[in-house]
Amino acid sequence: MRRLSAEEIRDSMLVASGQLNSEMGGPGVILQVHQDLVKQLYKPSQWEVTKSVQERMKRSVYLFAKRNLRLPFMEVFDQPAAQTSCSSRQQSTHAPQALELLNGDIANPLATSFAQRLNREAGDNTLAQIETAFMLALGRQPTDLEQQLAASFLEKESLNEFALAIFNLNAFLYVR
Amino acid sequence: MHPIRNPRRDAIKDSFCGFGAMALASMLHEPTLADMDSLTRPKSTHLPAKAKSVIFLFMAGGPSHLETFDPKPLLKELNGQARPSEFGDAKYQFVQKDAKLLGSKRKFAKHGQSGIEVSDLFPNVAKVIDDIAVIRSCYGDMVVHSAAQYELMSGRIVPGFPSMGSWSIYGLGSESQSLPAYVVLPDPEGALEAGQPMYGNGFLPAAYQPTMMRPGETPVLNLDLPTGVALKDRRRTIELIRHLNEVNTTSQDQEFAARIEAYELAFKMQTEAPQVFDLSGETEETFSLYGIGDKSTDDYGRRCLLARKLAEQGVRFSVVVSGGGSGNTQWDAHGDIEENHIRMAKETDKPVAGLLIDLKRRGLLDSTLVLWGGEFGRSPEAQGGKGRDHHNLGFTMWMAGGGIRGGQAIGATDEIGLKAIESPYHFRDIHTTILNQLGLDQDRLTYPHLGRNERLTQLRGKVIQQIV
Repeated sequence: MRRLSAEEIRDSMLVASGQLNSEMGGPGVILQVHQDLVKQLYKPSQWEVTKSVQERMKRSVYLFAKRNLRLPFMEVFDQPAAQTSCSSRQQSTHAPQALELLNGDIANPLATSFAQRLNREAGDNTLAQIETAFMLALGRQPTDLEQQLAASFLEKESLNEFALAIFNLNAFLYVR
Repeated sequence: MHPIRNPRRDAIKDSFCGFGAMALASMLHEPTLADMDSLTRPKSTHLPAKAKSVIFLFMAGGPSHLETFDPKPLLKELNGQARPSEFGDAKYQFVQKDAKLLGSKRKFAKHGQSGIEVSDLFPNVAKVIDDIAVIRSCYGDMVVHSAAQYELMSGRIVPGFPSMGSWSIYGLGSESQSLPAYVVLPDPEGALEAGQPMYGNGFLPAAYQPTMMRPGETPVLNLDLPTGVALKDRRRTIELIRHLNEVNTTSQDQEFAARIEAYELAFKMQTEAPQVFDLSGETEETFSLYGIGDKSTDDYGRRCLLARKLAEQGVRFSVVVSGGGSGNTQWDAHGDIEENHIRMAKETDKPVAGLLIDLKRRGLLDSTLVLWGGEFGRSPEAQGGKGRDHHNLGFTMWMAGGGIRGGQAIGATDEIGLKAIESPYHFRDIHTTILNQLGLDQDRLTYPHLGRNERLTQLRGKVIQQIV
């Protein structure tokens, strides 16, 4: 069993949320990152964010790799620094990963898209939404217990938060 | 111990099944998932530790030793002349062989009981000189910023190797439950030539990466909730994650247990860390001690005060950077050493002294090692008449606290400050000394990378015995 790599986690969120642009090739894609990080570049003008939203939804393999500005999302999930060769990736588990997946600016917009997709495909029936979420993100039906836990959560909380929770599940992040 | 998987090793193992494979696996210390939750737990040290945390006051761009802690009367006498050949050669970035020596205009005086000479750039640091061990004989291998900054931080002249901060927390683990263990407080003026990789964890697991703290209300990335989400909602989301994870987890799944714990820790950081970052609970007297409220010292003072609070809360390593952006907003005084250093010293003198005084009166100085310095010093020759070029063959750094014996100046450069000639100390010796104070042994603090056990000190360093 292993955790998905940084790139796989983002790609999986793109797929589940229905946002993936599967077009191949093209120039490297530069994602929006916090302005304070860009300011830490010696030449901040080098970080020119890709204008087309569609382009930004490409697989992570097309993301522009800059040694002096690593995407926090990739960095925190053990993508190697590009300065030395790497024979085998690390896998570490720590709190900043949880913060990235809960509060970060990659997971949150995709969770919103995921929630919108659930609404589109399952209507406003809570149980149908839960089943659809499990099928799209985890490839299986929820168990009765999972169904109950999710349903009681959705009585009080938004579908957005539910969608975000799905992206944070071990079942989503690990594969056998 | 190390969470790495090597497919080549797997292949060997697969071809020798049975006892052979088991023996081989244990010989190779094949990691298990169970190891992973222990990455940032506090660990026992190799040696008795004198310091629990390190604060590196990083004077980026290269502060002049000649204007600060290393007086050179002969250089003044030789002002305007060519360097006498008996001092030997030096390679600079800009100044040429026909450059003329430049005497310092600064006034030096003896301070404290120790009588260490400090220039008039640092009137406040001079008052606490008895707590400081001045190392006048530092040297490095590189004379350009980025390579020298990499060497200062990671012991290597190229990026990609773990910084001393990452090595320290790899060795010690984290003491704080709600704060990152290794923090960098960059200068809001901007970036440095070597960029973020110099602070990085290199090939060490991402758990040992630095946390860059930004100026303003939300200093740590992702600590603030997305717009429109309330803390109570987020608490429920984290509970849902925990419940859904737990129904699929058995007690044997230590990796999953670690992930569940990571979410609890993340929530704790989110609620508790902002209180530590909030300086409003400090007294007016403390603010003025650090120069907070005065225009020139406010920024560095705030960051020094924050570094004290972080050390107090168990943060192991913090870097407080003075200098960023273009050369002249660093200590990189190519154009006019007087203008640059008077300004940069003014911005940092009171905050640095304030930090030492504050640490001491709170009983924290004994367990907090403070390191001051840059990636190199500056040339005895003038650049363009009034400036000084980079200079790596002899310059000054200092240490205080954390078991360092203050009130002494050790080592020496030659009479014009060109080369470290008496007890020269390389960056690797600084690194070895820092590790030693933290209770870490440079030979045992290793990590396998591309087939060899790497360490912070590539060539073995020595502990600076005179000051420990």
